[in-house]
This record gives sequence, C-alpha cells and structure tokens, in this order.
Amino acid sequence: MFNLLRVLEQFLRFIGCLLLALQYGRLLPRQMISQLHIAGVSSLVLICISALFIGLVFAFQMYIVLEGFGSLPQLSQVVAFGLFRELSPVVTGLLVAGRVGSTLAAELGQMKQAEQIDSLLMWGINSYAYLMWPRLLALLIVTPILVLAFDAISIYAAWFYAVTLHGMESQIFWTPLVFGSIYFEVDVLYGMYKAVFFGGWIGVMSLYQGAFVERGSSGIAKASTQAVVLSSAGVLMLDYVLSQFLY
Amino acid sequence: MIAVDCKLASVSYLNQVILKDIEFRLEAGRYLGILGPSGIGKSTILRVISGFHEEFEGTCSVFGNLVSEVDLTVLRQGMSFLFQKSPLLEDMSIFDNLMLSLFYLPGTTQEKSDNIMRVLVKLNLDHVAEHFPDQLSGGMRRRVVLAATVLRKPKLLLCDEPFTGQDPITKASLVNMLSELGQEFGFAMILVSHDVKETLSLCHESIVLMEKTVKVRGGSQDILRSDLPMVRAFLDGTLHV
Amino acid sequence: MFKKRWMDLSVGSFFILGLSVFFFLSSITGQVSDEKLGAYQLRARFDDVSGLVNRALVRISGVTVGQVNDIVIVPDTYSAMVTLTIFDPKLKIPADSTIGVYTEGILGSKYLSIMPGFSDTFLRKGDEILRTNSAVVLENLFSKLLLFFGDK
Repeated sequence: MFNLLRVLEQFLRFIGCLLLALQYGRLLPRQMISQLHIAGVSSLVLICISALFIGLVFAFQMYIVLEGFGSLPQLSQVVAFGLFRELSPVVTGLLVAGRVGSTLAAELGQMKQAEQIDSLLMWGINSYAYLMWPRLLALLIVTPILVLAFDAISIYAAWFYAVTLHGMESQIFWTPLVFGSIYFEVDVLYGMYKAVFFGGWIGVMSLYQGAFVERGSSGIAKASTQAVVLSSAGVLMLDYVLSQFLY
Repeated sequence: MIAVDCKLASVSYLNQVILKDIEFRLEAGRYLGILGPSGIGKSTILRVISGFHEEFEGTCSVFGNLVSEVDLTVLRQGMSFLFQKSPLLEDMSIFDNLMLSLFYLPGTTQEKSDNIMRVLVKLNLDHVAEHFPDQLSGGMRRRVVLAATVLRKPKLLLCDEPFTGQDPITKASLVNMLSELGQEFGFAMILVSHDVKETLSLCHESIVLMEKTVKVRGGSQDILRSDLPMVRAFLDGTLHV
Repeated sequence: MFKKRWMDLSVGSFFILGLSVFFFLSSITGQVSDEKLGAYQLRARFDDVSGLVNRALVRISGVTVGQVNDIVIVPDTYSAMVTLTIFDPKLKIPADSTIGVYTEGILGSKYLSIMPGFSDTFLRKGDEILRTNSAVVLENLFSKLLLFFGDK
C-alpha cells in the first residue's frame, strides 16, 4: 500500500516535471524528424500488414453473415463501421504500444543508466524538454496518421475480398460507404481523436517507465515490459471511456 | 583562488556510510587525482561536487559557493563533467550534439559553430562533424565527448574514469590532450581513476582512498614513496594480506 | 549524410501519404455536411414503414440517390412521416412520382424506392411525395392468406 502511494507520487512528479518542461521547450528539427521516423515510418509496415489481414478476416466473416440475410451490399458499411470506429484505433494503439512503447522505455532507461540524462543536466539541459517531449510529440502526431493508414488498407482488403475474390460489383461495394451510415466526420475523424489520446498515453507511460528505471539490465527489461503492459491495458480502457464520450 | 574546497564528514549511499572524513582543496588551474580501488565511491565525490548526490554531511564549496545552497544551474555553468559513458544523443549528428551542449551558454550561433569547428580541428575530428555517434569508434566518441567538455570553457572539469577501456596509446594521447587543453583553457580538474600511472603523471596532487577514507595525499613522488602495506598493494597491483 | 537525407525523405513521404489517405477516406465515405452541398429533403407519408430505419437508402431504378433522415408519427392520422434526403441537387423528381417501402431479398433490410412519374412539374425542397406504397409485412400477408383459405 505504502509502495503504491510512493509510485503514485513519483508518477505525479513525473507529470509535473513534464508540464514544467514546456517552458524550456524549443524544438530541434533534426531530433523531431528522427523521432517521427522512429515512431511513424518504422511502425508503418507493421500497421499495414495488420490492417490487411484484419480487413480480410473481417470481410470474410461478415460476408458469411450478410449473405445469409441477403444484405451483401451492406458489406462495406459493416466493415467500415466495425473497423473505423473501434478496431482500427485500438489495434493501432496496441501495435504502437508494443512497437514504440517498448523502444522508448528501453532507450530512456539505457540513457538514464548511462548517465546521459545527468550529462545533459550538466549542460544545463532539461531532459524532459529535450528527451521526453520530442518523443511524446512524435507519438501524438504519428498515431492518428497510422490510424488513417489502417483504415484505408483495411477497407481495401475488404474490397479485395468481396470484389476480387467473390465477384461483387465494385460500385455496389463503394456506393453504400458514401450514401450509407458511414460519416467521415464521425467515424474516421473520431477514430483519429482517439488515436491522439492513445499516443499520448503510450508515450507518457513508456517514458515514465524509462525515466525511473531500476538498476542493471534486468531493470531495462522490466521497464520495457511494464511499458508495454501499462500502455496496452491503458489503450483498451481509454478506448471504452472515449467511446462513451464521443458517440 | 580556491576552485574546490571539500570538507566531507561522511557520504552515504542508500543510508549506508561509504566515505568518511574526506578533505581536500583545489587551487584554480591545478589538477587533483583521486585514486582508489573500484567501487569505493570515488565517483560519488564527483557527484557531490556537481550537486547530483545530496546524501552527505559536511560542506563542499565550488568557487566559494556552497553546493547545498547555490542554484544548481548556476553551479553547473562553470563546470564540465566527463562521464564514464558517452552522453551523445544517438539521433543527432556530432555537430548538433555539440551545439546542444552549448545551448544555454551565451553567444551567437555563428560564434558557437566556429568554436566547435576550431575545437574539432584541434582534436582531429573535423571530418566526422556530420556523422552520427553510432558511426564512430569508442575512442573517437570519447574524443568527441572531450570536445564537448572543453567547448564549454569550464573553470572546473570533473573526469570520471576517462581511461577505462582504452588501449595504452589512446590512454597516452588522452593524457597529452588533457594537459594541453588544461594549459590552453586554464581549468582546474578533478580526475577519478584507478589507472595509477596516468593519473600520477597528469595531476599535480593526488589522494588515495582506501577503507572509506583518505590514506595518502601529495604529489606523485609522495604517493609512490608511501609505505602503507595496502596502498603499496594497490599501487603495485599485488594482493595484500 | 546519406542516413540523414533518407530519414528526411521517409518522414516527408510519410506525411504526404497520410494527407492523401485523409483525402481518400473523406472521398469514399459520407459527409455530415453533404446537406450543405445542395442535397435537398423531401417528405412522404406512409401507413406502415415497419423495418425502415434512419439512414436507410433511397433508390431510383435500383441506384442509390439518397437516404432516410427522420421517421416520425403524424399525431392525427397515426401515419408515419418520413423525411428523406436526395443527394444530387440536379436530380429532379416529377411531382406525380410514387414512393414505396421495399425489402432487399426476402429478409433483408428495407429501403425506399421512387418510381418516377410523367409530370412536367418537379418536386422542390420540402415537398411531399403524395403517392406512397406501404411496407409489405409478411405477417399481414400470411393472415390475409389464412382468412382467404379459411373462407373456403
């Protein structure tokens, strides 16, 4: 119990330092670009592959159900509804948590152990402003874009399944999306809003784990595991809460 | 002028006393070596002086300012710390890293960049300015860090084990570089190491830490002439009984 | 140097890709603001709209041209008033057209279908389509059949 309180206090102090560091913030473009690269470009392939297969399997199952009701023209709507609103931001969040969260925690932990953070302090440089914020900001920017990529790839995967594999007419697939109950402002944009929150959560959790790493290489292992666990669980919880607010 | 005046009654780490009665005083522009076996807490003394370690009793002042009272940012502005490991950020080029190290010091970007190139040329590193840290060898990285350290024009340089893991030639060139840079920039230095030969040849005065406290102090001749058995064992590299 | 430039390029194309996907998605999905783009609304009164839901499709000759926006009860006649949106402002619908509730397949979802009339006057924004065919409810059909056979 006492331990839990101490962790909570430590975490709140971390958030406080993070917010205080905003006043020193001056973005270095080079650093920002390389963080965007790490968070975004290098997760893109993983996201695309997952989107492809999730879109395919979703279309496969829905095809069976809808065929039974004679409502096959609704396929694209059903797929878009399920994916755009929930599955795409959540799966993207989970993948980013695994791919980027663990990297951040391990990297920060390594820097802490190697006294890099102390040496930055010696140079008068606030590690929250120069190490944490660029990484956090990169995640905030990149996650919604990854969700967009996920949306596009998964709907194309469903299209491939229905049109190319099962001979549905392309027009019948696309038309209900435009005239049906899928709205860009609601279904696609809200997914992106969620993603911003997920990105922020993953970033804060992973950086926190990295900044308060325990000693030794087991400390780094523990930090990166904890980062993935906390950020994945958090993504699922946040998703429920945000859905309640948004829809 | 006194650069560092240290009167530490005790220093603890995680509630355990690791050092007792450490006293030394360093004139500006002079070099002090701190020798001793690994794990005795030599680095902790440097961390006390730079304000990272607060578990100590006694006083420690740097250029007349008490470490426990003065604003740490101000304290660290005149100071450079050469850590055991490289502080270079992996996602920036060497040049950008050096620019970052000067970020909070006065001066225009042009001046700083000229300065950086001058020091890089001096350390024979100008061809790697646009490289990333992971493209350099360990020795080169250490030289880059040294460049970052002297670029700040410190009045006090704290060196934590600069010779560890270096081959004899690199060690010798580091010793040369440190003494040349010291003559050019005129900083005082505290050097923590367990490499006896290099430390004694570089420093004007040295202290040897054993069993939590200072056993011997003085110039290199005084240290080498010491006849305390355990100090002898440390200096000669023999096991003492 | 090479590493730096490659990184810039990949991050740049990442953003360009993101932007184009953004516009792609906005082009293949419906927009709440479609109504502002000139789509217009019509009304129709039915005796029975069983199974018809908001956002159900509106078709002419099987081509989707609009959707249902609102279904409310008219208090004095107890009939259902359906508001529907025609997406294309250039699509004119004759005043004597008939609109009916149909089912996709036997058990599929309901949609509205408009059979264009021959009048030279066209419906305008907010007008009512007067000729309507209500939904065919299978249970009603069965009970009529039972009555029919029961009489014999």
